[in-house]
Amino acid sequence: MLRKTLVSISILSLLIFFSSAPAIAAEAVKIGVVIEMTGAAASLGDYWTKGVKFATKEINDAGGILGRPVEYKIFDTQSKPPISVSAVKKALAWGPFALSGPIYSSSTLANMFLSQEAKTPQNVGSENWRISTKGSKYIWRCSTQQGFEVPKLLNFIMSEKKPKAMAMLHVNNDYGIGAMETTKKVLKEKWNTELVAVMATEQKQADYSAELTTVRRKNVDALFIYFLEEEAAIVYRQIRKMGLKLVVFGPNSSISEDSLRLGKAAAEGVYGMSGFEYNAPEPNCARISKWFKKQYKEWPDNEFMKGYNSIYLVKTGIEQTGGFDKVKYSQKMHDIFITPKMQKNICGGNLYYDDVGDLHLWDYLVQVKWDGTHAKPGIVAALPPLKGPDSNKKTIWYEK
Amino acid sequence: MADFIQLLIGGVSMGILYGVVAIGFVLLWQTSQTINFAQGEFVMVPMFLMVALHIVLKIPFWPAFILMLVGSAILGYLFERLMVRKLLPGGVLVIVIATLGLSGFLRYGIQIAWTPQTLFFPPLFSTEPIRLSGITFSPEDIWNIVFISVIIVVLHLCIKRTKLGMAMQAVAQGRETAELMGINVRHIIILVFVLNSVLAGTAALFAAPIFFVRYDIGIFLGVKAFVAAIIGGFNQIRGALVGGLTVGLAETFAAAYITTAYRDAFVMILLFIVLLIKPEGMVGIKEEAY
Repeated sequence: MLRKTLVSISILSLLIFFSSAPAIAAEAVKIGVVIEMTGAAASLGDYWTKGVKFATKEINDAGGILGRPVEYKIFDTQSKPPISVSAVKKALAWGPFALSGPIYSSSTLANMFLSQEAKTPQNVGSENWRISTKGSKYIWRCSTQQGFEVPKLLNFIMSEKKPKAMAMLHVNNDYGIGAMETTKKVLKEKWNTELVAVMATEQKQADYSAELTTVRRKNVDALFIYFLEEEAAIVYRQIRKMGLKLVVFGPNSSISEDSLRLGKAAAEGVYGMSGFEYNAPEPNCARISKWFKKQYKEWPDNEFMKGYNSIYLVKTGIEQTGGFDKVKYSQKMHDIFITPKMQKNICGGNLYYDDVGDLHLWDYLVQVKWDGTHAKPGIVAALPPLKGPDSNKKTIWYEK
Repeated sequence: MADFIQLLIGGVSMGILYGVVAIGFVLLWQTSQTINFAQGEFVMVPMFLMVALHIVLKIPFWPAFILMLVGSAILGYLFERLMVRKLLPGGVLVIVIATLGLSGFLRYGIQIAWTPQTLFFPPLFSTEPIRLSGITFSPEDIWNIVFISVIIVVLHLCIKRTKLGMAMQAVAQGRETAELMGINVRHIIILVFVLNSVLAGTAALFAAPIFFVRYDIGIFLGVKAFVAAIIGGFNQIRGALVGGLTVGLAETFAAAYITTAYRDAFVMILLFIVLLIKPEGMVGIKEEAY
């Protein structure tokens, strides 16, 4: 008798649990995280998902978005564009309000048409300039695209360092090729000069001695590197091993925490630029970086901040439209100036999203410092965005 | 000329690393007709083991290195006992598929159990450049070449001059004959698997500061070493070494003098040429089909 009662109670409890589960799920704001969990960019994907996780927890602890909890599900792209397409398809079949990721430009270029067709907002970490030319009204970037990042960086190098011969090493994918095209264009149009050598390299290449021998042969005094973190760190080590004396500079990946953790003393002196730095004078980046440091015993890579922002962007869009209409969301989230007053937790200070979903924010110019045990980003200047309300402001120099 | 010498040092330094990993392919093939597609992971796992022992647990370098080699040896032993011995009767294809599976298991096992992030491993030798008659080179490259060469020479002498080495050769030439000569073939095969893992562990020590320690490094090293073993000759230890050096030099010089964009493509072209002209490899011995 007792056994029968216990079995009945158990079945009843299970029925109650499962019947209530869909109700909870239906109310949740679902976000499909289409990200590089394995493959070449797994490390970056890991930072991104940690950002997503933290932002979700923060939002849910504060009552969710318009009273609804945020729920996310991860779909692995394996760092491969064709797989990213099927990952986005799977994510869309799950019925999300928005997508977060991927990071790889090649993947975004391959899958962005799906979010456009499904009219589902997609917040990506990709930087290739071509993404903005595809006409999608459902793509938003979580980092500055190359078309705006490269000119700012070159402006500093050309006017402050005045190099006589500049070369570029870039990874042979959409991320690196996009940067190379922008660099050539900017140098020709604004500075009336050319790169003395341009070398495309394989992803995850381990030896750059051939490329650096060419750099030395051409008497290069400024080297623009456009790689992901590990490759950048390997290049720093090999530059040091070959005894080359030159100005090395690159995008946010070249001064991110992963590059510095691996490059160590060899990274000293490298210049780079990023909108998200853990030690930048921006309270939200500092706040979430401190949380990360406490949680994982290391400073975060900027992909953590981008992943974090990808969730807060969804919150901003929904709150600004006052509902869950994706078309209205898309209209509202273009040509929008997001300030900490509007969205108090968002990272990076004032963010301006233009009419194609490109992000414009203050970028920090960084030079790597070596303190004997750690390579750290030293903030040199804060550079205003090239578009949006803050674009008329002046560079703030912290050290010159 | 200075550039040429520097490229030569760089190419040899990379090539000898590919070569030492490729030797493992040859050793296993010769004694047990096993093609181990998890060979790269047999380098990756000791890399992580070394980080765990030396960096995380702060065990001094030499004890950590010895413990890492013991761990590698256990990995090789378990590989033979739990996988190869059971599956080999099914043929080479079964082993190929099983080792591909093992490769994924070890790779993603490390990623899930530890980290997908790339980890730093301190250089074993000074990386401060030395300048000599207009040539700048790194002591790290030179010492890597010297130490790995010594290891390969010692291995070669052990195989050629010791009783155990001769027994290994006998097993490679014919198991049944070796058994008739009183050699315990099973023990020799286990020994070769353990030796291969220890060799891979040693390669891991030299590779870790150059490539960094990452869960997917095995794919890169495994493919390069496999190609090197085919180019040099799958049935000769010296073939693996020649193949490794050829791959290292080909990619370095192709990148320096032709284009950096498709350095791997040149190695593949080289592989096709060798397979067309000399299928047994550059220094491999032609095996008669019965």
